[in-house]
Amino acid sequence: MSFKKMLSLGLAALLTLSCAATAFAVQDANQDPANTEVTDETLVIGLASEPSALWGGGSGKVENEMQIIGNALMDTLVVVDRNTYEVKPNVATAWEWVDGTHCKFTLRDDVKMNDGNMLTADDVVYDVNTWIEYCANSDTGRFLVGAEANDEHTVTIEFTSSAPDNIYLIAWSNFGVFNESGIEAAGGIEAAAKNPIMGSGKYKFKEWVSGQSITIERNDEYWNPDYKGYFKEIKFTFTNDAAARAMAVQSGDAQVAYDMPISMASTYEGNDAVNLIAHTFGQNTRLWYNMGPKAGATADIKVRQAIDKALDFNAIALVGTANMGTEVHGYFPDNSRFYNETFTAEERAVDIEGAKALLAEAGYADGLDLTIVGMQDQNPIFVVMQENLRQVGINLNISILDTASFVGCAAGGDYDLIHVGDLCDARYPAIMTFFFQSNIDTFCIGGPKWTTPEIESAILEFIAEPDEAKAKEELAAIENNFKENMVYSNTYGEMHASLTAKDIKGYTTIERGFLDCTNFYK
Amino acid sequence: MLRYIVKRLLLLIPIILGVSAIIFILKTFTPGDPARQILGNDATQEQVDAKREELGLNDPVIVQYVRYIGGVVRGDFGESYRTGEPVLSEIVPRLATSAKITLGAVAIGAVLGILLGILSALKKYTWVDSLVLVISMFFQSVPEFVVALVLIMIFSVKLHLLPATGIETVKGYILPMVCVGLSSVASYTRITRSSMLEVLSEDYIRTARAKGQTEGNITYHHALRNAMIPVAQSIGTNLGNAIGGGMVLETVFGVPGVGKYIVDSITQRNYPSVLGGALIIAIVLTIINLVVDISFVLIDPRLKTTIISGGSKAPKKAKAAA
Repeated sequence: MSFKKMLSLGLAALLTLSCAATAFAVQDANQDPANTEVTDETLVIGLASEPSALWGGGSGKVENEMQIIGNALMDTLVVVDRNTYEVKPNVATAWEWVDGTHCKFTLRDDVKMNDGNMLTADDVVYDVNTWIEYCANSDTGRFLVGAEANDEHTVTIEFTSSAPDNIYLIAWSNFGVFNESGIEAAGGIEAAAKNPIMGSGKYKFKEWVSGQSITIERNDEYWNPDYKGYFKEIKFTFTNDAAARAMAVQSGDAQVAYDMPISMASTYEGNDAVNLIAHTFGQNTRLWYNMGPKAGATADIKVRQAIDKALDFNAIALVGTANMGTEVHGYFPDNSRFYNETFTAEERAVDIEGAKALLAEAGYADGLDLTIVGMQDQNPIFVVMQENLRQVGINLNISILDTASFVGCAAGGDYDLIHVGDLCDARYPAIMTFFFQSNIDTFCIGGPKWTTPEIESAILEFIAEPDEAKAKEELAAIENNFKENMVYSNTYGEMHASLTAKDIKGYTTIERGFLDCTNFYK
Repeated sequence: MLRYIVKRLLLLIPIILGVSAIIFILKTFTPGDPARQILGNDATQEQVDAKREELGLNDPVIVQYVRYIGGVVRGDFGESYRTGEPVLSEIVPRLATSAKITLGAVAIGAVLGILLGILSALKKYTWVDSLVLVISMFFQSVPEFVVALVLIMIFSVKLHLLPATGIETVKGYILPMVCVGLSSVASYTRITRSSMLEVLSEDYIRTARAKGQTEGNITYHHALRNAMIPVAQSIGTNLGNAIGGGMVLETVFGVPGVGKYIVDSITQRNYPSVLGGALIIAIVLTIINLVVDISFVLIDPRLKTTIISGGSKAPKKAKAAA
């Protein structure tokens, strides 16, 4: 056996062992049973940055930290069980689709708002109108038409388009309900964005020390007697540096370090002082080939196919998930109701000679230069791609940009290749917007910058299809079309990672895998 | 003296114009649209265009610049793109936090540096001298953020003595102060050492020895006082360095100071906040340098002619009385 083969086998064995070790060491989210006790303790959660407001409804924005904190302060009509993806009652006990765009919600009659008033259907009508007026640019407002109170505790919400999974959308924390008197008490809509006292959530807003911390306190008059908030107060601190956030947990200053870079988080595997929580959140990442007006060589399907054959997707997934995830074969996550295995493992295998032959057919036998754009955290993945493509004569230039520059570049289609994901844990009206002509130049951060009326129509039909089995078939047809045109190459399921103190339990998540801070306990 | 102070304060005008002009030029060449930054990625192009018009971003850069400077003169540094709050109201409370850390850091650096410098001078050309040089150079050479993480690891993670991040208690200030302070130790050590060696070789020191004064008395009562003049002068320079170093470390330690505010604003393309933060730091530094210069005159009246006349009437080096 040659030295190279022995070395390869040795490395493969090490990789397998490390994957196995990781699988045992890393905890998943949403696994712990619910808490049953309350204490006077304070939970400290280290976030990367400070939100500009706490209520998107008033600020017209949606920020990650805003969602995380806001989720504790306000209740949504329904919630989604993040283990089963089942929609469950919350302040609405029942709901039914009147037609494709109208959904009628029956509200509980015992939901006490923070100002002492009880939640009514008129409050929800006011909420919907506020979302439409103040959040027309974001997903909070742009899919709503209006609402009508049918009686004191029944309200019908109208959506812009027919989509049964709008019920999943309305479960997002930016749709937390509030009342008009609460808004007035806070000082109006804009003031309420930074002083959100108008909800009915498990926790109440207490204090915001600008630049330093935000504190919320347990709502002891919470309407749901089954819920127990273990911690009396939850304090959010803001530290950009992920290593410092992690060390704050190790030192005992904080109990949770949220949103760790996956590569850094994996180094805490097996650490005695902390738990490593890593999980996917319904967003598969893919390598998109520019096929739009600014496309260069990637306009040629043979070049796209050659790149797909040259890439080692297993290695890309291992690097992208720090050995904690695997490559994906469909547009939707493999635990989704609509998952189709569009690509097989065999089709994913590296084929250098096949790639070279395709490049030669495309007129690039002597090689070509391509550029991939991304942000700093993607650099290791791009290095793997660069090395893969080098073997077939493609010189991949890696362009690492800061957030604002990346967004400008990605929205404008100034790239050959781009590596971005699409949240697909449900058929939200905003999924697959990479293929809506009206969105390509505005809402889309990346994608192929290309579509056809047929593709757009097929996606809209899939989103609107009430029969889930049929919807899955429709999606399969769409994905096969993408596969035939080699529009993208699936890579891996994106992951979130956090560290918690060893004695902390109850790590649960909300939409987009964001932290649900209300369920922690010891 | 008053004329000198007024003259120095007038220098603020070109400094403000220079700093703001540089940042305005950088802003012009930096990719990323502030209007889209404010409205979010979901905004339509029409909305972005309208916002650009509202903010005056479509005007020529020189028009935007003159408009901004006009606001600064009236005390209006603009509004944060991110929060909508006046930039000045966001910076002022942060300035106090940064000032505490900077002053603490300078104090720690000066005390340690002076002590090591004295030790080094008294033990010149021995292993102690070499060791002091190595230690002080080490803290100057290693990047501050590396020292920061090592200090967090030791004092927070291992010993549980100090908080890793945040300044909710007084303890929270210690690590950032020490970290910034350590980087200036080498500077103070070198200046103290060379100044002490120079003073110790003066005639009046020899005279003191001849009169039978003890070495301790000579060192602390005769040599140190005179040797401290150049050390005191270096404090002004080190204050500037400490503010710069503190900007990075505020991000690592999660300290809500001006440095973190500017760093965050840069990544968010929040130009009014970047401009406001940079201008206020420039103004503060200029005032600090002025105060330091004036304090020199109070410490050493011989310098009055040198500083106030800009050096044109500088007398020959006078020997200090023992």
